[in-house]
Amino acid sequence: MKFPILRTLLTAATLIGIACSTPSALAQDTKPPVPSGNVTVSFWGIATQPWQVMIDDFQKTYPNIKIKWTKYSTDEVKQAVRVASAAGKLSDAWFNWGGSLASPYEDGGHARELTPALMTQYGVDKNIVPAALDLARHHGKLYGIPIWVRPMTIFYKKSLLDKFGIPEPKTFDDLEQACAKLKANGIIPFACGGKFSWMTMRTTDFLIEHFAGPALHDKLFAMEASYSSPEVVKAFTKLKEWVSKGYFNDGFISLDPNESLPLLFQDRAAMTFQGPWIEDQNIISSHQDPNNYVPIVAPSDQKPVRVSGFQEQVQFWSKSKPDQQKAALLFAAFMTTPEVAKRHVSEFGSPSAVVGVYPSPDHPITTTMVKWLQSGVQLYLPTDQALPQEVVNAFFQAQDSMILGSLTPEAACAQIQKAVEDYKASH
Amino acid sequence: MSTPKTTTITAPAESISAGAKRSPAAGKRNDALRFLPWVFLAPGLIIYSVVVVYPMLYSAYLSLFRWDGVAPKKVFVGIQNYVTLLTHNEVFWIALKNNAIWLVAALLVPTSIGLGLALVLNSRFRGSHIFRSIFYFPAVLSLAVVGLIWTWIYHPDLGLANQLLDALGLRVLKRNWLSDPQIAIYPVILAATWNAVGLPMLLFLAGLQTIPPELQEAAKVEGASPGQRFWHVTFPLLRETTLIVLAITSINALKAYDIIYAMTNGGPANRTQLLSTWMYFLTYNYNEVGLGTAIAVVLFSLTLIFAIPYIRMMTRKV
Repeated sequence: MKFPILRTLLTAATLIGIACSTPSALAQDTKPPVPSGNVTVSFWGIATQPWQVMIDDFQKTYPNIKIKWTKYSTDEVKQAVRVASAAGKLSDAWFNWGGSLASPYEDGGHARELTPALMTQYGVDKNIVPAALDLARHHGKLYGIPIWVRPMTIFYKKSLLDKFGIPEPKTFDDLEQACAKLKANGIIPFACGGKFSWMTMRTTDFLIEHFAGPALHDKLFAMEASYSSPEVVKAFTKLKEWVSKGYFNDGFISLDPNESLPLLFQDRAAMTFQGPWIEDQNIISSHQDPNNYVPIVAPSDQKPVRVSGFQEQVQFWSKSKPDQQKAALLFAAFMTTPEVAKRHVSEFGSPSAVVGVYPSPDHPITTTMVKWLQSGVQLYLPTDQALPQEVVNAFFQAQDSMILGSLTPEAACAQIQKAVEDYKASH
Repeated sequence: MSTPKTTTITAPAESISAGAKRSPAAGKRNDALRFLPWVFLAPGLIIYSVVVVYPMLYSAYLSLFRWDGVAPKKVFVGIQNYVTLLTHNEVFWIALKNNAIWLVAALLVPTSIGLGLALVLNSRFRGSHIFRSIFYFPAVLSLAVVGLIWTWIYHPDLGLANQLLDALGLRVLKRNWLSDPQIAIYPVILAATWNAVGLPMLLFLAGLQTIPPELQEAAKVEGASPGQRFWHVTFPLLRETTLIVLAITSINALKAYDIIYAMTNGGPANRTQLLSTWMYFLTYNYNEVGLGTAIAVVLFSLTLIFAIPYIRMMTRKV
């Protein structure tokens, strides 16, 4: 089975799409049906995400519908959905990512397909930016309503780079020079928490994008090119070199991502590979100035310019009772109504997948990222969503083993390629 | 010491012969009575069958398939998952080795410390109750909480362990405690030990309180040293308690899961995986339900080695 991975994204067409969207998007041909009696919708979402603000507004608008939100941590929600789908008892709606994290539920018939008729009925085709829909589609079909688009890139701490007279890195060479200078001044260039392997993977992905370029990177994700190719080996070699030079914090490989951020806050590290969610969840909540944490387009020196990213969506159980299905779809459609999304943008977070919704002015990080997306910066899926999870296991194992010194870069790449071949042979 | 009186009740001969020639009504009543215990047991048995026995059997069944846990179809592969585990899955062997290290450490360290604390706290002194509570306190914390506390203690830059070593001028001993693949499992075991000492301590305390003080006094009068009194009087009389402690500790060691999940997530590079955590990762994170359930079967078999003697011992006592 091949994973249709790289969807090109958020291009100038998106910009036009966003710019041209007006509240007329609200005017739909057919209105979504509203259940008449009292309905309770079970919804599984991540505890740190601000669903409550939308739930409160939705329940005020539709007093006969109650959203019962069960809160999970990032990894718990993946487990809960997997167990429940195997047991045949999913929630009516659940939060999910895309790519290979969602495809088993889509292929297995658990997630309800949003047919073109349903998309029109719930305003999805008009309210969601096309690039987010492209990211969410699996084999050309849509199985959820995108809520956010999350680019992931390098953030630097402005006050620290200014202190050492380091200019904002615009190229890969600039980035390496910045790392060397920071290290020479006793500052850790990158704060990283590699406990779950996916934070380290963001740097690995960036290095593959730099050395392999977008075309080969896409082929790797589609499992049509070899991970043993020289470009990937170069990327792994560079990662190893950065680790050896002390460009990451000591012991980062077993650190929780949240435990790495204090290093940035305490001026012990200068950069980190993160997403826009840290603006609310970490920076503003710890009373830091978000203007001091500047996201840059990770300088891969490649064209088209791309950064890692993904969409986050709400999916619906195909076997829910009709009223629950209607109510769950209505809830997601409500959240993605431009008027509602604009009203709650400061609490609900961004970049929103809804057309014409911009971050509030007190969110400089997400504002910058939205501007990138509108100016043609594209996204590529992170490895852990682009490759099948069986191969992701081998990727993480190889990446971390190489960092620890038990595998050479060549051996690490060969190990990943073997996992790819095993997967292809058995599927 | 008084000898306990025993009373034997002998049934009269006529009642035996009456029992032998039961009326049909009495026979029916006796048959009904024979099934009565099963009626009382039924609710528990049904629940046990549904939530324990059936999932166990179903897991064993799933271990014969290749399945991602979500797809409608499962592919029958026979014992291939077991063959893959034993011949191709490097992490399985790392996990098995870690389980062995964990087991040995759990049998030696918390049990010995628990026994030592029990011996000290068994003697009545001012504040002994407070000390009992203090030493038992870590046992009331969940392993996830224990993991969180110790993860911060081991933080390479901001953690107590390295800062303490710094303050004591022992920089040479500073480590990346949880990210050095050669040693990472041991700091986790230490954290688990902190949590695990309370239970053996409590059981040994209970055991010590059943030993008649006269025996200790008699040995003392005979001139036995404290060490001799421990080895020749106390320890032999704690034999049953010790066996129970060892059995429970072994089973808990094989079940260890949450503290690894909280502290290292099985890393770095899967070097701190245990069979339980690797089973979880394969099943839930990497879509390898067949391999994951095969590990569950292996783990269950290993647990039986310790559980069967324990259950036999407990039922024999009853």
